[in-house]
Amino acid sequence: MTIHILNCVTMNPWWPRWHLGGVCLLVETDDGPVLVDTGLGLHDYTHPSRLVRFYIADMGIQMNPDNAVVRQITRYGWKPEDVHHIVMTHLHFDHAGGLPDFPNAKVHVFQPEYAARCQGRGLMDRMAYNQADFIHDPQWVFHGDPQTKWYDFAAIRLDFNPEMYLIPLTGHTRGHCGVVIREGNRWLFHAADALPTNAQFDLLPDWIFRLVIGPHVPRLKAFAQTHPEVRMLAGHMWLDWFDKEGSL
Amino acid sequence: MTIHLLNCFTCNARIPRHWECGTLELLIETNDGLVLVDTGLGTEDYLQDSGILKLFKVITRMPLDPQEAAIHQIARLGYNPQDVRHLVLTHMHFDHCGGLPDFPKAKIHVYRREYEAFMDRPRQFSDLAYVKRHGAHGPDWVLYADTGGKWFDFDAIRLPFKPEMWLVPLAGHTRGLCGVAVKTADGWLFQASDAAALFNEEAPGWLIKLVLGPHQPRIRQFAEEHPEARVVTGHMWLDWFEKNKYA
Repeated sequence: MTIHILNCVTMNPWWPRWHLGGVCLLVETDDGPVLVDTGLGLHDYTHPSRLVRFYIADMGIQMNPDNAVVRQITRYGWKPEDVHHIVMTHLHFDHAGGLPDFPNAKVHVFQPEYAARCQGRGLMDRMAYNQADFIHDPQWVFHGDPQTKWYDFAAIRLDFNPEMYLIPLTGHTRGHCGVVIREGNRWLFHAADALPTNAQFDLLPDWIFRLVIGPHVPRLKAFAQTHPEVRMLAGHMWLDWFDKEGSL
Repeated sequence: MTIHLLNCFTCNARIPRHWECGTLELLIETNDGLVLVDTGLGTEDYLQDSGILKLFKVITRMPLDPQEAAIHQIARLGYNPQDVRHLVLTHMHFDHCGGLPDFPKAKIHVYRREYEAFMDRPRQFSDLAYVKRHGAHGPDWVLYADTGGKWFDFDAIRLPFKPEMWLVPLAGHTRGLCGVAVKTADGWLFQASDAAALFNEEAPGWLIKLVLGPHQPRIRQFAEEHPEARVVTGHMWLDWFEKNKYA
């Protein structure tokens, strides 16, 4: 069992002048490769929608199609049609862009997140859900109310080996989830956009965290400090971090 | 276990004048409280007409009696409307889901394509009969995606209730219309909703196909081949409601 941590969208925002990569996990399970999030897809590079064009200018997204996860998995010997399952933390354009590159995969999502992207009422919704990511009409698998617990977190068991859980951490979006994967007797906790960039808690003042990534930062901070056996991962990490830590 | 057959919205045609119809709702006693399949108009619709209802005032004859609202009928049957814990929707047109705001605590079970069409901007003619207000109170949605299940020969999705219930996607009238099949003591009750007009022998085939979608012939054939499944539709003749109170 191997987890590869890939950078599938490179961002160089103007301010703060950070260099970021968007996390995508390639988990080699008994069922074949499972992706957690997909970064930007080929269609975002060849035919970017108005929304994506805005972020290309605003966030300094690097226009390199070799960053698309569908091209990166070939490095590990997988073909796109080998991917039967994709687990989504949330459906924002920088996480769901690669979905059309895997038209036959089942897409696992927390049901309120799917509802949120259909509703798309708020300004943040309209600014970040890219409907072009879903026009191929993927096979959705909805996961409803959490039935179990992982540590203290309400959790939804995903039917893969190694053990995987969806952990609802709403706030950044109305159905945002983290994903937990067992690695031997340790855990990888991909909290996606519920954690500050690079899982660093001192980057920005708390009120900005609350506004942009939701209410879970203090709880996750306390959890990370008391559970050294859990490796915390955020949705966006420093670009040079991927070179050092990319594969487990 | 009882299934009540309710008419929660009477809507008669002007031409031809003898087409007098009610909208069929099912009230089902289950292991998890009462389940209401479709709602008819709600109490709010009588206080404030939606645009589409204003149009229907012109093209149809309606008594518009607030006592027809599901919440009042359920109370008259001797139930507490608070016990309606789940609403299952065949589709989200104003005449089938207007009562949603009357049951703010109920979970709303709906096929994801129908939810999508309801939340989307109007893209086709039938989308004009959605009233956004009906889903604007922030209810607890439970969405269903295809699972590969089968009910008889139909693709179907199992609903989490006892008696056994299935959502049967029959798109056409709307982008995500579903029939609802309920297990009864002696077979099945199949609410084909607005995918079929089995009881209207006068409507021409092309009109049914235009308004209700492509499934009518298949559902009629199914009804003939399976006498154990009692097929009903979204709009039934008024005298049918007089004769049929339970299933």
